[in-house]
Amino acid sequence: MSTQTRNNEQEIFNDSGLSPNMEDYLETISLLAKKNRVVRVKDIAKKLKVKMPSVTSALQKLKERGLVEYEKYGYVDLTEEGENLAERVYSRHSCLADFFEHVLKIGKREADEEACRVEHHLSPQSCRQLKRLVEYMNSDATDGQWKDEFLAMMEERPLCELSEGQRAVIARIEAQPILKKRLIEIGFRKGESIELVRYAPLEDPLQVRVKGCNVSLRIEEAKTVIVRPVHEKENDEE
Amino acid sequence: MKNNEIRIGLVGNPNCGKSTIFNALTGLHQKTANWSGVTIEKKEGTTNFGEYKIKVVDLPGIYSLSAYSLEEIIARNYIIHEQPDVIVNVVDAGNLERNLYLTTQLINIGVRVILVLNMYDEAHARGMDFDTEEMGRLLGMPVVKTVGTKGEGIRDLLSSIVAVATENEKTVRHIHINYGDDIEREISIIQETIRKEKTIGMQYSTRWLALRLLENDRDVFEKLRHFQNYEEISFQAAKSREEIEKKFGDEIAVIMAERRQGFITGLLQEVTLQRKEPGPNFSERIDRVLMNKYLGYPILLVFLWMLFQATYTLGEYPRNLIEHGVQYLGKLIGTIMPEGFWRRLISEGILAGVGGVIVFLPNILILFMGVSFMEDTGYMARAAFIMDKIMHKLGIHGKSFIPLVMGFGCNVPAIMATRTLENTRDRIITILINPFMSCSARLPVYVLFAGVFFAEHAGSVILSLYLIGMIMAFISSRLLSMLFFKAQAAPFVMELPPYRFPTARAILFHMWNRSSQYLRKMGGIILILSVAVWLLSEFPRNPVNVNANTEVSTHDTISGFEKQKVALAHTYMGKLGSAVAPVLSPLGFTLEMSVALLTGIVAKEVVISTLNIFYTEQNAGIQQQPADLETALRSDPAITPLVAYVYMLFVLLYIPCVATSVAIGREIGWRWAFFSIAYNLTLTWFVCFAVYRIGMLVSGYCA
Repeated sequence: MSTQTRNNEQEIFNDSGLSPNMEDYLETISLLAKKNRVVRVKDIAKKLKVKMPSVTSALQKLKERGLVEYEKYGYVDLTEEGENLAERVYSRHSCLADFFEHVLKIGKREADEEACRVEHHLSPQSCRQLKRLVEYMNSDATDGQWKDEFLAMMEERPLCELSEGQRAVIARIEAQPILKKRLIEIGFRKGESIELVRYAPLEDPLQVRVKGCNVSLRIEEAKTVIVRPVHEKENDEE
Repeated sequence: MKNNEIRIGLVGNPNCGKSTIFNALTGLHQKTANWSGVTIEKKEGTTNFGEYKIKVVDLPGIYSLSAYSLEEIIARNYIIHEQPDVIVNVVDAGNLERNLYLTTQLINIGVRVILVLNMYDEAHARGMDFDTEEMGRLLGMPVVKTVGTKGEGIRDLLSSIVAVATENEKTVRHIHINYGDDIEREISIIQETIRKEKTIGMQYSTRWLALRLLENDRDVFEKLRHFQNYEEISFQAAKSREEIEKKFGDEIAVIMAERRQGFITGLLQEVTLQRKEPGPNFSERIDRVLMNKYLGYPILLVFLWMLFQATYTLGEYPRNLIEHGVQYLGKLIGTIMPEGFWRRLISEGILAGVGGVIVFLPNILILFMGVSFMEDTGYMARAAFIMDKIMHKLGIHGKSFIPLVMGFGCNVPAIMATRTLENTRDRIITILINPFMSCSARLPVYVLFAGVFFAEHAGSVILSLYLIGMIMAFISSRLLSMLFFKAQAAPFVMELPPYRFPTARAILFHMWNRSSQYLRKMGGIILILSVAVWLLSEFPRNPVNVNANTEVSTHDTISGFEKQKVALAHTYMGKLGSAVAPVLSPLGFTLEMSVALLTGIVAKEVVISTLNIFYTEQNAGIQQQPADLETALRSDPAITPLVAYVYMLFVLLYIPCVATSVAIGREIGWRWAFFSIAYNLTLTWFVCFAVYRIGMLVSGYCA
């Protein structure tokens, strides 16, 4: 990435001076430019789910500020300054997305969407601190015991949020007494490994395997079983 | 043990093959009843072994003895109060880790137990093997390997039962599961408190009581309530419980379950000779197809279609054969016996009644073959799994689906098929809404009326009736669960057992069992009621000289068919008809239609033959001539298309037929049967009234 050199460590999270809307446009153009050879109005409209005329008028404003080069019916290009600003916006986005994904342990796609929603309102300081937190959590340098425990805890989720075929370990059961009792009797216990085999065709109930035996649960019941997903290597599938 | 009679109780988890052991032990010597006061099936059987007579009671399938569900309370009360000589604990050898949980609880109660490792062949095929002798030594009970479906190991089990009952079995000893010092201390403190009242110890094991009190078992608290030191005991139990929960930082139920699990894990480590980790197996591969997102429903549909076809289309042939046989018999009697009351009683009353009972038999046989095939293979649980979301919206269990669909054929076997539902609440609701599934007996009535009054739209009209039936089922289900079953339904924690090939023996057995039950329990009552209805429509005999000049009818036409009408109007049934006519006239029904509804209680298709008597000149209706009936109906000015529609609606919804009512009564008790009749009648009247009045309004505006 050639632009990286232009933004130094201190400036990277600085305010772009643009409205959230414009920031989104800039970010999108930059992303599309990296992905495709050329960027067209149509692509931008599709990506941001807006109408083409809105894109055109936004491009007009960005052009006035000298951030894009754009002629009617032509391709869209970022100016150097535009690229610079887009990089800043994107850094903020990825720092947030990393935080959601790696510390709060939210799924990658959800983390990305969540970041899109809040990225415009974050101060440079908060961004910097978040980035430090993510880096700390991901580093191996420190004594990792409490960190592993913490990260595992953050990964805990209701059983019904696992995907098909995913394995997990039961952390606790928060069900009402009758259901809890029944679950315990059928083999649901703390520390027991559990696999979500499949969802019924209508997404409810779901089938899990615990202690080698298949059990069906309704979603509302599966919500009360809190599990920690197990990360496994790709190669031990059949 | 008295007079060489040994009483044993069979306990085990659902799906452990307990019933195959029961069948292998008792063969055809079984009878079924309900546990007193509840609608859970109680199976009893006997067998002889050597000089001993062994009485076997099959207890409901349960996961534990914690008294949360009715099934658990029944099993527990039987074990504690009836004090059988031996408890036979059947476990799935392939899943000991879970199945032995119940065993640990039996150990707590302190009864004499024999552990049966059932389906040992299957476990063995999966690479498992256990040292049963060592297991028996550690558990303090004999351990027997069996394969229930093939009858393997049953002799060993029988001799073990005799040995334990006669106290000749050396392995039997009382063991204690150690819950760890902290918990053990509290247990002995509670035990001491209990022992202050000596009589308690004579009835129950104090250790068991202490454990149950510690685990906050309401049922046990109830049992001790009338003892003097109850206050002290419950205070101590609460104190101990708090102590332990504080120490371990978890709920007592979880702590105790973990301890028992620990005991089981330790035990299995000692006795396992070999074991392999099960990979994705045969069952999983089948599941991938049968529960596939796209294939799941079509496959279920195909299965149901096949079941339906087999039950009602294939069943049609023997059914016709039976009907012809009955008719032939009637004719035969006609030639032998002189004309008169007795001949009519036998040929029209009794024979028709017998016919009414046995015509269902082929359907019941085939349906139960299909249902037991689905159950024994394990597909039933899968069908429930994929249907549960929809059924849950109706307030019932996924397993209710099959009986409901079967109701479109005939409600009687469908109601019997609800036995696959383990939960009483679900079962009662499924049974009560089943009569709204429009059975095939109602179809002739629709075909007749829709054909006459809605010639061009007959198909849509009939479809609308089926739909209204389903909507009524839906509404009733919601209503019933709101009114009577407020308590949250039992959790849908259902096992999906591995697929198994059912043995022909098991399926035939199942078929035989159900059918003989049907004949024994329902046949008699249906027969009696059919004859009763016949008598009502035959008596009192109208004076022989009822002739054209009898001025009863307001119509001017005087003909043979008027005579017939007059004759029926004279009978009790006719009088009953006149009595109910005022209730039914707001719905637009004529007297004839009302009487036909009354006779339709026997079976809904009878509505047609009664109408036939009224509207055609034919003699009492064995020989129907629908063509005449159609013109007669069409020419009756009182029957508008609206009235005809309301009438069909009434036939759809009103009182379950005699056979269905008897089935309901037999399955869940007469109180529910009467409730069902009253509920259906009330609902029907209001629905029909509403439809009739709204229809009148609409047609008034249109005119």
